Amino acid sequence: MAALTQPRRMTRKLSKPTLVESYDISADSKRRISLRRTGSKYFSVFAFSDGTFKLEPRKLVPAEVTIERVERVPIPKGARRAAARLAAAIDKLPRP
Amino acid sequence: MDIIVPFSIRKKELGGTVSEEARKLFTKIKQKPELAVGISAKGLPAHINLYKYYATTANGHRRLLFFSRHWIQARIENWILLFYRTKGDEIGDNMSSKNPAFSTLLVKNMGFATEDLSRSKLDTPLYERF
Repeated sequence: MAALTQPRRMTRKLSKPTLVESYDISADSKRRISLRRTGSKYFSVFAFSDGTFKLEPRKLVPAEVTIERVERVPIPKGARRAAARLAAAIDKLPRP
Repeated sequence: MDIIVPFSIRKKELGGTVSEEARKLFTKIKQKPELAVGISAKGLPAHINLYKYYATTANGHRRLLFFSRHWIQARIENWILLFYRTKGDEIGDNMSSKNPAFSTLLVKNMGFATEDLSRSKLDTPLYERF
């Protein structure tokens, strides 16, 4: 019975994305491009030195984790760099 | 979602060991993460959040602060414990940038956690995972 009361863990298996659509586009006079049939409204954009752009749907929190209360506060000085370093260290952690 | 307690944070915030009270709290946080208060800060990089958690235990009120790293596609979310304080504590009373003691210690604790996590190896982790 103890196993039944344990909280359900998230699936850790990385699902490999599959190619759904491929097309050629040209930038308009203001160097903008349009995406077709996007699944989300906001994206995190990563621009690389070779001209490649990578877009990730910007959903900050998983759907099942909805934080309702949010405080808007300025971040302390120096915390931004420390946060970036800590995030990089977390990314290198071995997955269980 | 996993809660990670680096050894240096465990030593500084929890007195060296993760108490039964803290373990119970972590289980509850994993079951109900929506009770946390998200800190929306402009300066934070992408995929990073800070969460405050106000908890009540048999021994009194607790104020916890977590650093969250999440990747939506991979469905991975790690919450790193940074503070485990009581309500009457100098830090626990006011976890905001208006409290200079909190601001200083936040950067320090993030540094300690970074050091522990980056020095961790698969067979010798310098953290506890809950």
